[in-house]
Amino acid sequence: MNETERSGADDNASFPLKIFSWNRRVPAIRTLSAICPRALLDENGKRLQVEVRSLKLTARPSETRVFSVPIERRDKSSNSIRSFFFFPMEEDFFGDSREKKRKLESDARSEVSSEESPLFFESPDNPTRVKVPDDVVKVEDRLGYILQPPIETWLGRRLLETPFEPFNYQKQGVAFLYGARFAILADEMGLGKTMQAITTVRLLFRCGECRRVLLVCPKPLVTNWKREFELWAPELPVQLIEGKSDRRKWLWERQNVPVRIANYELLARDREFYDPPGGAPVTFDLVILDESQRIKNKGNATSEAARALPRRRSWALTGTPVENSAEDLIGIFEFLAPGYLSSGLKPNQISKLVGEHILRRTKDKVLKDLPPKLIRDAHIELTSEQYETYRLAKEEGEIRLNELGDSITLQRAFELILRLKQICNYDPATGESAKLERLVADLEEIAQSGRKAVVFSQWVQTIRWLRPRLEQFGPLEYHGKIPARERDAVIERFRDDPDKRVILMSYGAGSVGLNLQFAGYVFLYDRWWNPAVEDQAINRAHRIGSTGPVTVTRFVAVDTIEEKIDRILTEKRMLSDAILSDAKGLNYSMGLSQDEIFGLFNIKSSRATKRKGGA
Amino acid sequence: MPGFLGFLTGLGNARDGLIGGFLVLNEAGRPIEFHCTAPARPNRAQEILYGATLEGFLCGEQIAPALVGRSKSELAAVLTNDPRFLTASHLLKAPLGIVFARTRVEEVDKERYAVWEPSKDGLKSEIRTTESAASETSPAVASRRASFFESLADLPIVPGVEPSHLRETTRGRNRFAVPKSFALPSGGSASFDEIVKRIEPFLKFIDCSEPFERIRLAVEEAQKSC
Repeated sequence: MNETERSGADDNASFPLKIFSWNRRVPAIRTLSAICPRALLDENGKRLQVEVRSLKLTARPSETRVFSVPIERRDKSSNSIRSFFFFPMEEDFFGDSREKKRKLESDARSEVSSEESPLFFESPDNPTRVKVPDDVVKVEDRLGYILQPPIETWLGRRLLETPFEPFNYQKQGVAFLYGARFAILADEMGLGKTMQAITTVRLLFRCGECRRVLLVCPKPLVTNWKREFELWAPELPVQLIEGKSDRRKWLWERQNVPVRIANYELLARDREFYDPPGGAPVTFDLVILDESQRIKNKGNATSEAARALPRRRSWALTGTPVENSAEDLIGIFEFLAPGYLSSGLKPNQISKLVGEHILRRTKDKVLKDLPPKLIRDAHIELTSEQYETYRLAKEEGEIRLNELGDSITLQRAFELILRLKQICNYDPATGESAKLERLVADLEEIAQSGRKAVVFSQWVQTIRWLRPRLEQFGPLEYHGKIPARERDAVIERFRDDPDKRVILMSYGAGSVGLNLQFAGYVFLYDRWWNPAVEDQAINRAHRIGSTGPVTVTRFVAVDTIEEKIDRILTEKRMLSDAILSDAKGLNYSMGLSQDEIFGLFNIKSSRATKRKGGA
Repeated sequence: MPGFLGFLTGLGNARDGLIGGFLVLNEAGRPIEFHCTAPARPNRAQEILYGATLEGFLCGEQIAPALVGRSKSELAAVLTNDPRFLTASHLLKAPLGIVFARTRVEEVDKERYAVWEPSKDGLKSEIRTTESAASETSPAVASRRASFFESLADLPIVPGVEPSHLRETTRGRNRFAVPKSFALPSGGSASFDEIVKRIEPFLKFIDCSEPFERIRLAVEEAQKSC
């Protein structure tokens, strides 16, 4: 085709077809050919000779904005097209485990091909997208998050194989953590914080955003975390920081270890290894603190050591971000983002500031199909001998406190409380225990039905006293006096041995991080000071995987100090629920204050009276 | 075999401003490149010159080649959910296909989203927004999901687009149509089966209709920073 271009005005030209174009380089004839081929043909079907005329710039109405992406100008006009390039890569973090990775991938492939799963990925109608952190400002960085595939893409087609299909809220948790530079995952106990954290870590490794992760947890949970990593991220090599000083130093400094697990006690002790004075610190891409309420006190050595960890991202996992007061949260944020919160802030200001950085879901909101949790208070009347021992101890204790006058201390009052609570558990003089009678009766019924029970107590002494008296139920012990290396075996025996119907646990060792969903009954043989800790204990059994309802029995000795403490804690819980019901689900559970502890007794000293008055 | 798949879509319309977005993904569905245009509005001369073909011209001959031309990746194919871009099929370096909706168009929330309807004379297609959609300020929001159609037979008439050059196929829940043949820039041509074979590996990890939502979100984000 003969395309003639004429910029000059020659109205007498004899071209049968004229095309006017504002840009002579626009392929006008091709466009016309595409949209209306017949327009280029004459009545005999022959191609017409076409004149293409350039429209001068002045032909454009001045108020009309010039189209911003003319083809030939795109390289000159950099602001008309915005381009962003990404470089996704998978880090070679497998090291010695390369063979393991190959085997896993091979297994996954064979599994995919053997089962009748759909060959093609199917995204849900509302996929879970990675959340863009508020503190990411640059548009290219924000797009880096927005353009990531939905979480379902990662989890759905074995890019990240998981042993179980995660719940939707867990996918949302992963999406929340993925982009978070600092965050608290504060899901209620039993909702799978561990799984969410590990899956996100896996995702970050896959995306090349992480090469070195440190997880810090209470000592009893170290092996539990290792087991969970093996389950949820089998391709990630995990190293426990343990052993003698020289070995630990080597473990801290060792390269090519994707995930390290340390306990809180080591953190303070090993500070010189990961943050040597004058030397190059070991920088982590991510530090996760499990049960982060351990660092709520800003001044303690553990908290300081955690803050000293060189890191790029910081996450905290806890079911109770606020145990006693807002200061707990401030303490945790001192680790996450130093200076982000300060003590002078009002609760509503704190709530507003932390809202974007805390994700908390409760079971009743997200697990509609979780079996019910039935809580019943068993009000136990002490036997006459037991109550007599209790009465004498109380009167004697109050006399001694009164003798102290103004020099009375909280510690003295606390000692008396402990003494009285122990007598409520069993009478050391006569060996009588009304609680034991009730417990045995209940356990007989439970054993007959083939179920298992967990009994919590504050004292190892009580647990050891109970064990021989519950011999018929094959009792097991799990507390701080059981060596850490033996604890996993205890849990496995309890789970697998049908003759082991009951496990006796201390709140300290057994209330966090354990999965006991195969137990249908929980007994709180004595009560902890803080309902949040009790909740943690209860949720060892009432969590994902529970096959039936979980019955919780809280023993309260009638007409004793236990009943008074229970009343105060119940009132406080109700009050905090009423006041803070809209505080983004934060659990403002509270322990006893000094005034309330003194208020438990009949004390006449002016100091205690003043406190009581103040209370 | 080229290792990347492109997704191309347009947000808005010629009257309010047309934004093109182009996303390149690898086989795992991860982003490799993203390109978007500023809102493009035709001038009066263009409106007169192109008339009913205006949007097809803007999308197919202006935005699509400009965006895809920016790509540094070797593309197995480019998929769009917007028939207006099909006019670009002969201008791109990779075969261009169209993705159909997984659900019926009638199920799209018409209260919230605009629906693109062919006009009565069958020549001009336009975005008809519902009242609530029109009240939304962002053209990207207004045209959200406007371009998913049921099948080739369901496509609105776009001047310059000849659906008979395309052939439908289904893979899992993905339904799309690609050219019956495509002249490769390197010489030779790729048949329909070969084009589908190029796309198939990506469908293990990518749901064809999903990346367009990513583009929409990214365009909205990029617009905020302008």
